[in-house]
Amino acid sequence: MTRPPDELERLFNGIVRDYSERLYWHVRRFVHSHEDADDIVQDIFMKIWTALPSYRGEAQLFTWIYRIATNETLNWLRKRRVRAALSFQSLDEEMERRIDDDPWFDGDALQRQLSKEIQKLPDRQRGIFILRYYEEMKYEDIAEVLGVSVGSLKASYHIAYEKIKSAVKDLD
Amino acid sequence: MDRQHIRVPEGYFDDLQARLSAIPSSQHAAVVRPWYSRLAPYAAMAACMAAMVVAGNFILRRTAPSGPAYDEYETMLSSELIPNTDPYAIYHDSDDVYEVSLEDVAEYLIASGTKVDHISFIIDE
Repeated sequence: MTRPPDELERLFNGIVRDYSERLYWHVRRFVHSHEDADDIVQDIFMKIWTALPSYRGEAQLFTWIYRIATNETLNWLRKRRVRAALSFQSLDEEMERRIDDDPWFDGDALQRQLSKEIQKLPDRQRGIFILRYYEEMKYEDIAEVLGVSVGSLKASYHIAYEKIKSAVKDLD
Repeated sequence: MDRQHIRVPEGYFDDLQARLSAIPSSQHAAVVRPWYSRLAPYAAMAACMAAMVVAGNFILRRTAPSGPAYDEYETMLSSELIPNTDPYAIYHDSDDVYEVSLEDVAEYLIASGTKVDHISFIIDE
Protein backbone atom coordinates (compact mmCIF):
# COMPACT_ATOMS: atom_id res chain seq x y z
CA MET A 1 0.00 0.00 0.00
CA THR A 2 1.59 3.27 -1.08
CA ARG A 3 0.88 6.26 1.09
CA PRO A 4 -0.09 9.55 -0.56
CA PRO A 5 2.55 12.30 -0.35
CA ASP A 6 0.53 14.35 2.16
CA GLU A 7 0.28 11.43 4.54
CA LEU A 8 4.00 10.70 4.20
CA GLU A 9 4.81 14.29 5.03
CA ARG A 10 2.51 14.24 8.07
CA LEU A 11 4.11 11.01 9.27
CA PHE A 12 7.58 12.44 8.73
CA ASN A 13 6.80 15.64 10.62
CA GLY A 14 5.47 13.53 13.48
CA ILE A 15 8.74 11.59 13.53
CA VAL A 16 10.68 14.87 13.56
CA ARG A 17 8.61 16.14 16.47
CA ASP A 18 8.88 12.94 18.53
CA TYR A 19 12.39 11.74 17.72
CA SER A 20 14.64 14.64 16.69
CA GLU A 21 15.82 15.35 20.24
CA ARG A 22 16.13 11.68 21.23
CA LEU A 23 18.16 10.89 18.14
CA TYR A 24 20.39 13.90 18.71
CA TRP A 25 21.35 12.63 22.18
CA HIS A 26 21.76 9.09 20.85
CA VAL A 27 24.24 10.31 18.24
CA ARG A 28 25.90 12.79 20.55
CA ARG A 29 26.93 10.03 22.95
CA PHE A 30 28.84 8.37 20.13
CA VAL A 31 30.56 11.33 18.50
CA HIS A 32 31.14 13.74 21.44
CA SER A 33 30.71 16.81 19.25
CA HIS A 34 27.66 19.04 18.93
CA GLU A 35 28.47 20.01 15.32
CA ASP A 36 29.08 16.44 14.13
CA ALA A 37 25.97 15.20 15.94
CA ASP A 38 23.94 17.94 14.21
CA ASP A 39 25.25 16.90 10.78
CA ILE A 40 24.63 13.20 11.38
CA VAL A 41 21.10 13.80 12.67
CA GLN A 42 20.26 15.69 9.47
CA ASP A 43 21.63 12.77 7.41
CA ILE A 44 19.56 10.35 9.49
CA PHE A 45 16.36 12.24 8.83
CA MET A 46 17.16 12.48 5.11
CA LYS A 47 17.46 8.68 5.12
CA ILE A 48 14.24 8.33 7.08
CA TRP A 49 12.40 10.54 4.58
CA THR A 50 13.82 8.54 1.65
CA ALA A 51 13.01 5.17 3.23
CA LEU A 52 9.59 6.14 4.61
CA PRO A 53 7.58 5.14 1.50
CA SER A 54 8.98 1.61 1.79
CA TYR A 55 8.22 1.23 5.51
CA ARG A 56 5.47 -1.37 5.74
CA GLY A 57 5.27 -1.77 9.50
CA GLU A 58 7.31 -4.99 9.62
CA ALA A 59 9.16 -3.56 12.61
CA GLN A 60 7.95 -1.12 15.25
CA LEU A 61 8.41 2.45 13.99
CA PHE A 62 10.77 3.47 16.76
CA THR A 63 13.06 0.42 16.35
CA TRP A 64 13.06 1.09 12.60
CA ILE A 65 14.09 4.70 13.24
CA TYR A 66 16.75 3.77 15.78
CA ARG A 67 18.15 1.15 13.39
CA ILE A 68 18.64 3.82 10.74
CA ALA A 69 20.14 6.21 13.30
CA THR A 70 22.52 3.64 14.80
CA ASN A 71 23.67 2.35 11.40
CA GLU A 72 24.28 5.86 10.15
CA THR A 73 26.28 6.70 13.29
CA LEU A 74 28.34 3.51 13.18
CA ASN A 75 29.07 4.16 9.47
CA TRP A 76 30.24 7.66 10.35
CA LEU A 77 32.55 6.23 13.02
CA ARG A 78 33.91 3.63 10.60
CA LYS A 79 34.75 6.29 8.00
CA ARG A 80 36.30 8.46 10.67
CA ARG A 81 38.40 5.56 11.89
CA VAL A 82 39.72 4.86 8.38
CA ARG A 83 40.51 8.54 7.87
CA ALA A 84 42.36 8.65 11.20
CA ALA A 85 44.32 5.49 10.36
CA LEU A 86 45.42 6.99 7.02
CA SER A 87 46.83 9.94 8.95
CA PHE A 88 48.51 7.57 11.42
CA GLN A 89 46.23 8.77 14.19
CA SER A 90 43.92 6.98 16.62
CA LEU A 91 40.19 7.65 16.59
CA ASP A 92 39.99 6.62 20.25
CA GLU A 93 42.51 9.30 21.19
CA GLU A 94 40.63 11.84 19.11
CA MET A 95 37.39 10.97 20.91
CA GLU A 96 39.07 11.26 24.32
CA ARG A 97 40.31 14.71 23.34
CA ARG A 98 36.76 15.65 22.30
CA ILE A 99 35.42 14.55 25.68
CA ASP A 100 38.08 16.65 27.45
CA ASP A 101 37.59 19.71 25.24
CA ASP A 102 33.80 19.62 24.83
CA PRO A 103 32.54 23.14 25.70
CA TRP A 104 29.01 21.83 26.25
CA PHE A 105 29.95 19.27 28.89
CA ASP A 106 28.94 20.43 32.35
CA GLY A 107 29.44 17.30 34.43
CA ASP A 108 32.17 16.58 36.94
CA ALA A 109 35.41 14.63 36.57
CA LEU A 110 33.74 11.31 37.40
CA GLN A 111 31.14 11.76 34.68
CA ARG A 112 33.84 12.74 32.22
CA GLN A 113 35.72 9.58 33.15
CA LEU A 114 32.52 7.55 32.63
CA SER A 115 32.19 8.96 29.09
CA LYS A 116 35.79 8.01 28.39
CA GLU A 117 35.33 4.45 29.66
CA ILE A 118 32.21 4.04 27.53
CA GLN A 119 34.15 5.42 24.57
CA LYS A 120 36.76 2.64 24.99
CA LEU A 121 34.15 -0.08 24.31
CA PRO A 122 33.98 -1.57 20.79
CA ASP A 123 31.47 0.28 18.62
CA ARG A 124 28.70 -2.30 18.70
CA GLN A 125 29.07 -3.01 22.42
CA ARG A 126 29.02 0.71 23.02
CA GLY A 127 25.77 0.91 21.05
CA ILE A 128 24.24 -1.80 23.25
CA PHE A 129 25.41 -0.02 26.41
CA ILE A 130 24.12 3.37 25.29
CA LEU A 131 20.71 2.04 24.27
CA ARG A 132 20.32 0.11 27.54
CA TYR A 133 21.94 2.48 30.05
CA TYR A 134 20.96 5.90 28.67
CA GLU A 135 17.87 5.15 26.56
CA GLU A 136 16.64 2.44 28.97
CA MET A 137 15.45 0.43 25.98
CA LYS A 138 14.18 -3.14 26.48
CA TYR A 139 16.52 -5.91 25.37
CA GLU A 140 13.95 -7.12 22.82
CA ASP A 141 13.88 -3.68 21.20
CA ILE A 142 17.67 -3.37 21.22
CA ALA A 143 17.82 -6.79 19.54
CA GLU A 144 15.54 -5.46 16.78
CA VAL A 145 17.60 -2.28 16.37
CA LEU A 146 20.97 -4.02 16.17
CA GLY A 147 19.88 -7.30 14.61
CA VAL A 148 21.39 -9.50 17.33
CA SER A 149 19.89 -12.04 19.70
CA VAL A 150 18.62 -11.07 23.15
CA GLY A 151 20.96 -13.57 24.78
CA SER A 152 24.10 -12.13 23.22
CA LEU A 153 22.86 -8.63 24.01
CA LYS A 154 22.48 -9.40 27.70
CA ALA A 155 25.92 -10.97 27.82
CA SER A 156 27.48 -8.05 25.98
CA TYR A 157 25.81 -5.47 28.20
CA HIS A 158 26.82 -7.32 31.35
CA ILE A 159 30.46 -7.46 30.23
CA ALA A 160 30.43 -3.75 29.32
CA TYR A 161 28.79 -2.80 32.60
CA GLU A 162 31.32 -4.72 34.68
CA LYS A 163 34.21 -3.31 32.65
CA ILE A 164 33.07 0.26 33.20
CA LYS A 165 32.14 -0.31 36.82
CA SER A 166 35.59 -1.56 37.66
CA ALA A 167 37.15 1.43 35.88
CA VAL A 168 34.87 4.10 37.34
CA LYS A 169 33.83 4.28 41.00
CA ASP A 170 30.25 4.98 42.03
CA LEU A 171 28.58 4.28 38.71
CA ASP A 172 25.13 5.92 38.84
CA MET B 1 18.87 12.94 30.06
CA ASP B 2 20.48 13.57 33.46
CA ARG B 3 22.88 10.75 32.96
CA GLN B 4 25.06 12.54 30.48
CA HIS B 5 25.52 16.14 31.65
CA ILE B 6 25.72 17.76 28.26
CA ARG B 7 24.13 21.05 27.27
CA VAL B 8 23.11 22.36 23.87
CA PRO B 9 22.88 25.93 22.54
CA GLU B 10 19.69 27.72 23.54
CA GLY B 11 16.80 27.10 21.16
CA TYR B 12 18.76 24.41 19.37
CA PHE B 13 16.05 21.75 19.30
CA ASP B 14 13.41 24.16 17.97
CA ASP B 15 15.81 25.20 15.23
CA LEU B 16 16.66 21.54 14.54
CA GLN B 17 12.98 20.61 14.16
CA ALA B 18 12.42 23.50 11.76
CA ARG B 19 15.36 22.45 9.59
CA LEU B 20 14.35 18.80 9.57
CA SER B 21 10.74 19.67 8.72
CA ALA B 22 12.01 21.42 5.58
CA ILE B 23 13.49 18.18 4.22
CA PRO B 24 10.36 17.01 2.32
CA SER B 25 9.95 20.30 0.43
CA SER B 26 13.67 20.49 -0.41
CA GLN B 27 13.58 16.91 -1.72
CA HIS B 28 10.49 17.72 -3.82
CA ALA B 29 12.31 20.60 -5.48
CA ALA B 30 15.23 18.30 -6.24
CA VAL B 31 13.02 15.53 -7.68
CA VAL B 32 10.79 17.56 -10.08
CA ARG B 33 12.87 17.69 -13.27
CA PRO B 34 11.83 17.86 -16.94
CA TRP B 35 11.86 14.54 -18.84
CA TYR B 36 14.70 15.52 -21.12
CA SER B 37 17.03 16.14 -18.15
CA ARG B 38 17.55 12.37 -18.00
CA LEU B 39 19.06 12.48 -21.49
CA ALA B 40 21.51 15.23 -20.53
CA PRO B 41 24.32 12.92 -19.28
CA TYR B 42 24.20 10.80 -22.47
CA ALA B 43 24.15 13.89 -24.67
CA ALA B 44 27.18 15.19 -22.75
CA MET B 45 29.04 11.90 -23.27
CA ALA B 46 28.25 11.91 -27.02
CA ALA B 47 29.42 15.53 -27.30
CA CYS B 48 32.70 14.66 -25.53
CA MET B 49 33.34 11.74 -27.89
CA ALA B 50 32.61 13.89 -30.94
CA ALA B 51 34.92 16.64 -29.64
CA MET B 52 37.69 14.08 -29.06
CA VAL B 53 37.34 12.70 -32.61
CA VAL B 54 37.38 16.18 -34.21
CA ALA B 55 40.27 17.42 -32.06
CA GLY B 56 42.25 14.22 -32.60
CA ASN B 57 41.73 14.38 -36.36
CA PHE B 58 42.78 18.03 -36.44
CA ILE B 59 45.94 17.36 -34.44
CA LEU B 60 46.93 14.34 -36.50
CA ARG B 61 46.48 16.23 -39.75
CA ARG B 62 48.50 19.18 -38.46
CA THR B 63 51.33 16.99 -37.19
CA ALA B 64 51.49 14.59 -40.17
CA PRO B 65 54.94 14.79 -41.71
CA SER B 66 55.32 16.72 -45.04
CA GLY B 67 57.59 19.19 -46.75
CA PRO B 68 61.18 19.04 -48.10
CA ALA B 69 62.62 17.44 -44.96
CA TYR B 70 60.13 14.59 -45.18
CA ASP B 71 60.78 14.13 -48.93
CA GLU B 72 64.47 13.81 -48.19
CA TYR B 73 63.69 11.24 -45.54
CA GLU B 74 61.67 9.25 -48.03
CA THR B 75 64.56 9.29 -50.50
CA MET B 76 67.03 8.17 -47.88
CA LEU B 77 64.68 5.42 -46.84
CA SER B 78 64.32 4.13 -50.39
CA SER B 79 68.09 4.24 -50.99
CA GLU B 80 68.58 2.14 -47.87
CA LEU B 81 70.84 4.67 -46.17
CA ILE B 82 68.53 4.35 -43.20
CA PRO B 83 66.86 1.03 -42.37
CA ASN B 84 63.30 0.51 -43.44
CA THR B 85 61.42 -0.72 -40.40
CA ASP B 86 58.00 -0.87 -42.00
CA PRO B 87 56.93 -4.54 -41.59
CA TYR B 88 54.79 -4.52 -44.73
CA ALA B 89 57.67 -3.33 -46.88
CA ILE B 90 59.93 -5.96 -45.34
CA TYR B 91 57.64 -8.94 -45.81
CA HIS B 92 55.94 -8.04 -49.06
CA ASP B 93 57.25 -7.45 -52.58
CA SER B 94 57.82 -3.92 -53.73
CA ASP B 95 55.49 -2.45 -56.30
CA ASP B 96 58.43 -1.90 -58.60
CA VAL B 97 59.14 -5.20 -60.25
CA TYR B 98 62.86 -5.64 -60.90
CA GLU B 99 63.48 -8.36 -63.41
CA VAL B 100 66.81 -10.10 -63.26
CA SER B 101 68.31 -10.60 -66.73
CA LEU B 102 70.70 -13.33 -67.81
CA GLU B 103 73.39 -10.71 -68.18
CA ASP B 104 72.93 -9.79 -64.52
CA VAL B 105 73.27 -13.44 -63.61
CA ALA B 106 76.41 -13.87 -65.72
CA GLU B 107 77.97 -10.77 -64.25
CA TYR B 108 77.27 -12.03 -60.72
CA LEU B 109 78.71 -15.49 -61.49
CA ILE B 110 81.86 -14.02 -63.03
CA ALA B 111 82.32 -11.76 -60.01
CA SER B 112 81.89 -14.71 -57.67
CA GLY B 113 84.58 -16.72 -59.47
CA THR B 114 82.45 -19.31 -61.18
CA LYS B 115 84.19 -21.17 -64.08
CA VAL B 116 83.37 -19.98 -67.58
CA ASP B 117 82.22 -23.47 -68.60
CA HIS B 118 79.62 -23.46 -65.82
CA ILE B 119 78.51 -19.96 -66.72
CA SER B 120 77.97 -20.86 -70.41
CA PHE B 121 76.07 -23.98 -69.33
CA ILE B 122 73.69 -21.85 -67.26
CA ILE B 123 73.32 -19.14 -69.93
CA ASP B 124 72.61 -21.69 -72.67
CA GLU B 125 69.96 -23.23 -70.44
